[in-house]
Amino acid sequence: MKKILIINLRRLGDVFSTAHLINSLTNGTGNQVSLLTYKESSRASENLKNVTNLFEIDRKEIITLKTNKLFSDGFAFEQLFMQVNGIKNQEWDQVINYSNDVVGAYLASYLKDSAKQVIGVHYSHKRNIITQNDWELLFNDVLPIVKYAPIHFVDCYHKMTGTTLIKDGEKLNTNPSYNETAFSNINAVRREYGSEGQTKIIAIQMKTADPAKDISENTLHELVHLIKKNSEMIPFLLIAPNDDERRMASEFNKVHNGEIVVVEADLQAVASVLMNIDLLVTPDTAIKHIADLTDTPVLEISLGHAPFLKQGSYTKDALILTDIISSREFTTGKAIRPTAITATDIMSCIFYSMTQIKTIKPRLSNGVTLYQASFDQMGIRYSPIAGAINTDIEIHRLMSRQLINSMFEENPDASIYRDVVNLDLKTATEWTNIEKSVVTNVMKDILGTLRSLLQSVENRKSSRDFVMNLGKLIAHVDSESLVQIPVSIFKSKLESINAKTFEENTKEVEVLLYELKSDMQKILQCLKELDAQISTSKMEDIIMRNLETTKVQST
Amino acid sequence: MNNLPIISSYEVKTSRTEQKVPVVNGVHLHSIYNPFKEAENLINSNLDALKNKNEVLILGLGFGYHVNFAIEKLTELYGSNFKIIVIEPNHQVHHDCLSLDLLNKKNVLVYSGFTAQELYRDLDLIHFLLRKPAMIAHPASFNLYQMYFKTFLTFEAPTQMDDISKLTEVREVKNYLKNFEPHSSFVEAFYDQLPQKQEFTSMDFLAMALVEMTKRSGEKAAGESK
Repeated sequence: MKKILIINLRRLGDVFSTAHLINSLTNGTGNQVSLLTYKESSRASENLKNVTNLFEIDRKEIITLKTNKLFSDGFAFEQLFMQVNGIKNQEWDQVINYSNDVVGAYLASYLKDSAKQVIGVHYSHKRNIITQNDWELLFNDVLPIVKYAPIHFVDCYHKMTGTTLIKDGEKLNTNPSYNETAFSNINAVRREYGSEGQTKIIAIQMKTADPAKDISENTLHELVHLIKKNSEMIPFLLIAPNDDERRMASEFNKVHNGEIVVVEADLQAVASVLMNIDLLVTPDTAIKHIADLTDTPVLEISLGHAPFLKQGSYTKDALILTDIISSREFTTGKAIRPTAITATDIMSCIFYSMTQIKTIKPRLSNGVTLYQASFDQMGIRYSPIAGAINTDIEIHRLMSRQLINSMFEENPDASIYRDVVNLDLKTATEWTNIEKSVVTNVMKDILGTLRSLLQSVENRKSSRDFVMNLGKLIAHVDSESLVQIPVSIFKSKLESINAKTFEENTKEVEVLLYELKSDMQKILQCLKELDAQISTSKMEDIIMRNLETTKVQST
Repeated sequence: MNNLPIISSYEVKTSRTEQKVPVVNGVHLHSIYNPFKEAENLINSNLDALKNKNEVLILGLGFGYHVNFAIEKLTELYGSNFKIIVIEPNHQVHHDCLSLDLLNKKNVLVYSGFTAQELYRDLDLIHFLLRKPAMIAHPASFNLYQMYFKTFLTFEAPTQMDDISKLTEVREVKNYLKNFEPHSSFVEAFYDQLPQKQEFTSMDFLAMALVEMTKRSGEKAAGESK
């Protein structure tokens, strides 16, 4: 039985997301997991099941004490000390920095003396970054720079902590009285408008905290109108219990003659509502994360900078509707294009979600893609199933995932090659050839760097060549090919070298270069296996065509 | 500027309506005709503030007639869920108010005879002020002790590390703050000196957590190296 502290100083949605890891850590293990969050996220943390103790930092109070001239700055520090003291005085088996931000890293470093192990980025006493394993490097140094994340954050945290994902189990505390009320009220609506067994409740989350992520009002009106036209569906509007959202819902409902059911629920009550509806249509919001925990079917409309590849809906068969991935900008601060997603697109996806047989895919507007979630050995995977698909990018995403399987788990997933080939054989072939040539160039640069490193050991004057070669090698970090992943990891490890002498430094760099060379070979192995699958698929195509020809001839 | 007001004369009179009225330095702190009516009018003129907040800071106690009316109104509005803090520089007035049993003490805390510096050392008061209570100034007290209340309202906490460390109560924090140059400011110590350290202690990491947490609120940060 372990005593584990998770530090999560992020926002509401991210705190709800922690429930997956907490469930995996506690399910049947006897482990005790406690959680440290900011006070403003307590509305989320209080609802998580299986948490032994909740700790809070009142960030607002500390900032006020620090910035207001009435109060001594020392009080801000004193308050922080006292708020964390309850944690510091305990002994922990693990402290997990789930936040992945600088404050989380410093707090994890502060608590190091109270813990047997700290997982996640933290600092040494010389303020060097410490990482326990390559998954942490992947999470901290690779995922922020790769444009199309190959792995979901929840899966990455599981890997970082060496925890097996357990999907089953209750992850949220719900109020039995709310559950009963939601059940009876929602069924009453079903009976009133249709039949209890057949009528589907489609709940629409109206607002997010970021206007760029909102579904436009016009689209919402049109969507509600389309849903109402279908006699087997009833639209619900989900809002938070505050005056602004009440006003917004009231204005919205006027357009529909006040006929739309508006459900006002706080973060605890909304779980009871979600457990009784048939589909949640939502932008990237905390409600989406709650729906993941209640196993409610979700159609996520990914807009703005919403990073769906890293933090999308985490439920099997969840649907994510997005503008084609090549047009998306996931980095906050960068300009975003207007969306091509229409109400008709959303409605098509709703129909798809409701049908039992999934062979007929929804027809979508140009430049719009529908992804569906499934689970493989790494965790959740989003596969494009309808609409516009950028095959190059999708192949790259799949193969990045495969590379991570090879590098970190030494356990490639054979089904990935088949999925790549099923996207487009010709593109897969071209992509493979391009990747091979990139790897060849990187290999040349690795060998050049190794050579100049060894030369600089014999003759210090050759160090300049070594530095130049190293610079050229590291520049591949900006490559948009598979090499970006191992080169980024190489770069991070290089920056963490803490050697005291030139000889020690050289030795460590040499080891890293050989590791990088080995990673290139892993890429080549993946490409070779993809080549084999391409050949197999081409043969199968030929055989099928021959069979067809024979059939025609015989008839 | 950080001293208590000088009291040169003090007596207690009786109003036309038989209520006791303190007279300090020749100033009547309540109406000599009808203190109750005056107090009621004061609270009624601040009703909007009381409707918005169940926590109230009252500047000036006198003999508490206005405080009692505030309690009455807050009880009507919030039941027992309210809090009043009164700041009164004159301890004698507070003492006599209690001796004459004039003050309804329900949910009321009086700080009497403290300088502004002493008040801003009190963490309970600080937490109360952080919650942004409604504020009511008792006019007679406020005018009499103008400098005192102005000092309280415009107080600026000390900025040098040696003064700051004296104000803290937690031993580990006090000892830690003493490690910095005594005449440097908190900003210089935490944002400039600290990130330059070669070796970090456990408390240094906590201090850096504070630096990062408060950076976005517009504080100056020294160039922090990774």
